[in-house]
Amino acid sequence: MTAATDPGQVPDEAAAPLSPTGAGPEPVPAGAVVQELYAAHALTLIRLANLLVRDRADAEDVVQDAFTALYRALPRLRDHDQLLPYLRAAVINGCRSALRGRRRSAQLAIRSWPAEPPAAASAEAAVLLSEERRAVFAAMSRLPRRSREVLALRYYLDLTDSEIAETLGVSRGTVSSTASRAVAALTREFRSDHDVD
Amino acid sequence: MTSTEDRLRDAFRADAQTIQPGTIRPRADLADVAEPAPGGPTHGAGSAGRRRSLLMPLAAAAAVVAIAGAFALVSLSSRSGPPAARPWTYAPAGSVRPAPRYLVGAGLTGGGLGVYDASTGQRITVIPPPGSGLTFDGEAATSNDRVFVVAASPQGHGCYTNLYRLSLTAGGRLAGLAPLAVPRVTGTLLGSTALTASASGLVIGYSAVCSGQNGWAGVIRLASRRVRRWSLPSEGLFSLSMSSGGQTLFFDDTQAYGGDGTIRALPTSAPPGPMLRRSRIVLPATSGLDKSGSVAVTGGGKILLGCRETGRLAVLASYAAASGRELAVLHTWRHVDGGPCMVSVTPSGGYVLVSNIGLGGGGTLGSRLDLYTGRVETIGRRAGEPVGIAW
Repeated sequence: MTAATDPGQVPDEAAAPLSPTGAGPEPVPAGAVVQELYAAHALTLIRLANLLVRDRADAEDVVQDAFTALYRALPRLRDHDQLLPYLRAAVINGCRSALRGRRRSAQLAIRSWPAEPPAAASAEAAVLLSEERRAVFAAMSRLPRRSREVLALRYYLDLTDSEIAETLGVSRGTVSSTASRAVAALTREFRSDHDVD
Repeated sequence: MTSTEDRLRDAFRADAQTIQPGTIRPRADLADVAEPAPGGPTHGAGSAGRRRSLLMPLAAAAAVVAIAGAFALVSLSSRSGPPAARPWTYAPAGSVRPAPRYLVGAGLTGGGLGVYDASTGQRITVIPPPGSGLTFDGEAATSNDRVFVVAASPQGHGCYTNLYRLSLTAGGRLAGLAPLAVPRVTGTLLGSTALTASASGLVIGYSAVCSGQNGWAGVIRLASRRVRRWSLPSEGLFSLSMSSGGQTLFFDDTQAYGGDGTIRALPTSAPPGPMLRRSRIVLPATSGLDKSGSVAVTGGGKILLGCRETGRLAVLASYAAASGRELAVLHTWRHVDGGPCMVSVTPSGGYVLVSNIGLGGGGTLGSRLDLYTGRVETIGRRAGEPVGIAW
């Protein structure tokens, strides 16, 4: 190949190709990869985001933005085993941004991590989320953000500590200790509730 | 329930069941968006979250329209009819230039570079990567519609990017691919629109990052082979656009994870250092521009083009780069799935391609605008084709 310093020059029509001209196998479109991932994982990720932001619309937005980011980043994510971890991390970060944005809004400040399901939840949802379950979310709302994330990833997605560590960008030991402290705190709170009753 | 862990699992499972597949926000498909937009904006069933997030931008846009009513140019932005039906005076200065014949886009899985007919959107060829283990991951147009600056980087075996001069034959096939005689770029591009060039192709801008580090942006001047870099507080930038003369870089500060979508301008002569500090805000995040999409600069660096959402509609608007004032609505169409809106303007400033992607089974739709006449044509493109396009 010859070096060129002026790409503004008109190329010579008869110039010899420097590499083969597109005779290779048909490439798989990047969009197809994203669509396949969307079909397989969007619902689970929306449910995860809903656990963390406690707002259905925000959860859908967060996941949509995560897939958008994935589409944009796809050319540099050559290892397709990394696509799902990338999505999970993007969803977690999106949830953090959503909560930060909510905190910035004075009107919504008290809803930074509401224990109640969204107002538009159906009657069926209300039944599903019994009082006991609501108590779980109320207790979780008092935990630090990272603790809530670790609990959601561990007990909803059933990720291993290594996978959680990769998603959150922390060490495996941090995941383990955070989970232990969070579960202990919740246990104390549940016992305390029981004692009161 | 016997343990805290069981109670957590039970509560999470129950909460998850409140979201069923059939209740997720409806997503448009390609056929839906391929229909021409109706005569006026319609508001579909966007989510509460989207509607809330749009309140500020919509209020700001309404204020802009109201204030600017006295200006003749802005009066052309009336949304009462389809874009092509209204008077059109948005032609760029100077003589009419013919539209480029080819679109080039990186991002195909497999690492190739797609070359497309700019009139029909049909793929002409796929140019294989320039070496074993390399992948094309960026493209930028020059004023010669058969010459592009393209980038390729290794697949996970190194953190660098090679820049090439791609030349096409009159039929849109590969004529030559020569490495540019410039220092190798450290880092890989965050997206195909993280590469931009001046109309001459002699000034190249990019944003790159190595895994685990903060990113940076740089400008390479081919004449002197000098490189200048600015640091970023996060991974890097998705979208860069350079003024035709190479004096200014415009960028959306949205980064890999987050960013608020502020549009900024950086003189390419600015001293090295923190990029956000060296740049000025052109459009605040409240402008409502699609923060995951791209912006393009034209008019010698004086006009910005970008997209925003209004309900189920996407709008391509122009803004004064000096003040951020909205100048005109150039095109309105139904957007797909909230996917990013990509804007690509030709170096001559006469033609714009806007496209957005579908994430939920939708496809890529391109609209080609002739700014000399106001004519809008839909370019049929297959789902999954790269949306980061140079022409």
